[in-house]
Amino acid sequence: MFYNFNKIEEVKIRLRSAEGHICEVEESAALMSSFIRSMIEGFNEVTEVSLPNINSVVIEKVIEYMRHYKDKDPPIIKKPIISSKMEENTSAWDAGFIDADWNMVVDLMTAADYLMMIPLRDLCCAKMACKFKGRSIDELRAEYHIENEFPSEMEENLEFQHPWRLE
Amino acid sequence: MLSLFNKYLARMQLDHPIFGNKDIFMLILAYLEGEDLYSCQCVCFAWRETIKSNPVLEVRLLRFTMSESNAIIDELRKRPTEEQKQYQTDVNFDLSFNRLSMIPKFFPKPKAALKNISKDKIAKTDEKLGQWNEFINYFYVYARNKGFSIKKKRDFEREEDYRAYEKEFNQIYSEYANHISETRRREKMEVEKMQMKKACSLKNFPMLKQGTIRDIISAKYRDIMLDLGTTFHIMTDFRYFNIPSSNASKVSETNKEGKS
Repeated sequence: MFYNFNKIEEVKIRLRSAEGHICEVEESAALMSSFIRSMIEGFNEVTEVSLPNINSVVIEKVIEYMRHYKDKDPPIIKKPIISSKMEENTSAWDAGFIDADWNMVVDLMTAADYLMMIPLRDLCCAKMACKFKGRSIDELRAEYHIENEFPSEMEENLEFQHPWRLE
Repeated sequence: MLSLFNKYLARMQLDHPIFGNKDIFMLILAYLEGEDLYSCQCVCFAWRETIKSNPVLEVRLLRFTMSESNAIIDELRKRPTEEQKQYQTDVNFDLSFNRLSMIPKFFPKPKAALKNISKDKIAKTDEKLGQWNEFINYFYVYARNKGFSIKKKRDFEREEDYRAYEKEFNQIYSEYANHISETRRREKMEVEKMQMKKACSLKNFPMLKQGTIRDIISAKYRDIMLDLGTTFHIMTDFRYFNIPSSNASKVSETNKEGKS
């Protein structure tokens, strides 16, 4: 008997999104997610995983990440970040991958947290930190629609204790 | 009370999927440091609580605040050294200016210094000052008698007039000084005469016409000299030590022979 291993097709995992769409991904790539790994290892012959918290767009994005880092380790982002630009903190591919709007990054992060994909989660965290870097207190409040909860006395006290924050 | 507590709880929690999730938000903040972390702390209560709940973040924040406050302390330390230079007084400043605060501590205090001064010294200085005032007052009288009016520099419009007046003034002043010295010398002579008179009257000595201290001493020791007679004269008069000329030539010849 002679087996041609190249011709054997890789098992594909089907990921069902919140809308009910099914996205297929190679098993070796899907194993990046600790959640999917535990599902496959826990239940034999599992080929479909439902992800009710994640929409199809985000799943597609996650699959793209999985496929890119299927055979190699993702780069580690140094803490704390050096610059507010992602290109200076991580690889060019990662910076291009995460270059998306705020809502997309938030969804991607929640998905990475749910799927237990630590490298993707760290990438999202770094992206968000880049958005915080170099911003003043008022800018942060305005951008994320946060009201000033501190009473005026406390604000004055803060200014007195740390006058350099006004500079 | 319960409503207040609920408000407090509401402040501590956010509905945002990221900011509301403390674990995830902590991971984001882990990528920040320094001023960025500090500004995040000042945004709202929830963010502050998130930072304070993580010891790593809190230590990072404290390190930043410490470094900033140390920098300000260094600046403040530099300031007094610059201000100290301003306290240096001008050398040509009026001496009446109170410099007691600038006198070093090892100097005696003014009250203690005054205690050390004896009353005699004060009396002497007062006497000298009185003499000087008298001297000046007499000068005014002397100048007036001579027909010279004393003026000030501001009374003159021209510089040449003032110089001419100054020359005249100096001349009058020197005349006055000579006059004063002469009168004092006369006064002194009179005092000496009076003393002589007193001394002679006590010792029953005849009054000397031109009495000096030398004459007084010679008069005092006259009796002793008379008692000693010639012996006193031999001891004092060098002529008695001279050898006669005939004997002296003999002595010289014998000395020459001995040497040869």
